[in-house]
Amino acid sequence: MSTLITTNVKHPSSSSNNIVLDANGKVNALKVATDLEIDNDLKFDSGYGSTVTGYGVRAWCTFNGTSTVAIDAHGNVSSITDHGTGAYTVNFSTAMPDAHYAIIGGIIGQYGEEHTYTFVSSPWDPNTANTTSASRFSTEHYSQGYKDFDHINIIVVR
Amino acid sequence: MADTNKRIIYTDSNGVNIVVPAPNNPDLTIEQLQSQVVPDGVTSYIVDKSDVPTDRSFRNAWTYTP
Repeated sequence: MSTLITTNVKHPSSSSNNIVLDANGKVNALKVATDLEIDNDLKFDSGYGSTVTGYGVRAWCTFNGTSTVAIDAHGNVSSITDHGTGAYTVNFSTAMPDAHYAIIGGIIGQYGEEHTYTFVSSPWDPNTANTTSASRFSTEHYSQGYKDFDHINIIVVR
Repeated sequence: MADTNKRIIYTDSNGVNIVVPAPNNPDLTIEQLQSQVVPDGVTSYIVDKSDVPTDRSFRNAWTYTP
């Protein structure tokens, strides 16, 4: 095995260095044009104050729960199952490593309604608990119970 | 790609369940999605999106007969 000793790596057609190494052996600047895959923790500062592990949004979805239920946009979501009024399951394209993830939801109610809504995720839903491949939740109105909403947003963090 | 103009329907003790495919999932057909999300042993059907009513006033009372 041989060792390449250098501080800068530059593509012939690039106007600046593509990889810059500092005296501590760390990459000082790195530009990635396509996917970056990291097999272990991703640690960063970005104004946090120290370099610690960041935790990613593993799935997200925004969908319409009224009329023709339809997914507007998503990441890592294969489908939404509509179980009835205000009751849904989000199904993941790539499964979570376990069921101990956090799912957070938000609801935008129709114009003119009283804006007191609740997003209930499955640990508090008697029908089912989270699995690695899906999470059931409900959208509810403070006085009307289960209710459909036209903008439902969810994120899953793990 | 799972056809977003299709829906997967199955029933259970709580009523009619309708699976809505996500757009832009190039690696998943509607049949593959059906096998992934429908509970084992439950009969399900693939229907056109237009076959599902848009008036959800009595959504929990819906029934399905293929």
